[in-house]
Amino acid sequence: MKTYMGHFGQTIDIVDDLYNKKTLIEAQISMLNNEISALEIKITELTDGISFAEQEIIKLTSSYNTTNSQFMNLVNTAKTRYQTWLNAMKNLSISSW
Amino acid sequence: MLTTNEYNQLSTTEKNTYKTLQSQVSAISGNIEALKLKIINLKTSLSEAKKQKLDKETLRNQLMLVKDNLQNDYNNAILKKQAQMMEELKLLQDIEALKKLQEAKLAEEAKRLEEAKRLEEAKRLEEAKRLEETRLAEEKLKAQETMPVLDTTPAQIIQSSPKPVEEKKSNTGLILGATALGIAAYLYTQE
Repeated sequence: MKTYMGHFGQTIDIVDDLYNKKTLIEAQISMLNNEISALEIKITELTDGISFAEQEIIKLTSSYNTTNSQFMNLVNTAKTRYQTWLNAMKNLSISSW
Repeated sequence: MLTTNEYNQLSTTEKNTYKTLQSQVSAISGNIEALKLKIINLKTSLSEAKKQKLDKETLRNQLMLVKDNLQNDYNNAILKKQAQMMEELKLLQDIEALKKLQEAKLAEEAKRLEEAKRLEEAKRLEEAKRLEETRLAEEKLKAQETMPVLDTTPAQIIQSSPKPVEEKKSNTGLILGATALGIAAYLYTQE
């Protein structure tokens, strides 16, 4: 079989060399597969996290709307009362003249 | 949201409720903003992870192609190596066959030489025999030249010898008889 000279002057069999290179590439592919699997898990987790956060935002928005509605009702009540009191004060001052 | 005058229109309970609701609205709003920020960060991380995955998948696909090429090269190299080994094996077999053929030729040559030697010896013996026969023939010829030729056997000679009753006065018959007996005796011993 044909051989060639290696970097250190050693004789390298082509079949052995091809086998070693193939094995090395297979190891790199295997490593990449593991990394891709880990990234897929991470992507799934991130997607789930985003979905969860979006659901939480929907819930919080609903809660915010309810609470804010109650708050605005109270604000409007206070404003109405004050306006009523203010009008009453105006009428009282007019009648006192 | 409320002026002091407006706020003063509320009862104590309403004031507490107002404060509570106000803090709740603020907290919920803060949480929503925090969640929105978190979602932005998560989406950024997700985009980065997807990009990394895509890059790694691209690299993996390239490596798969390299691996396929290497696999093909490896298979071809194995086939070539096998073919070369078969060729070497065939050469070895040819060498072995040639060696056997040469041995057979040598054996045949030795046999031929032995046969030639035997033939030579036989020829030599034949030649010696022929020379001896020639020598004997010459001797016989010489003897015949000195003696008269008789085409009779010793028995015939004896039978044909003269009877004592018919004895003649001459000695010629006696001499001839003695000579014939001598020749017969000589020939007999030579055989």
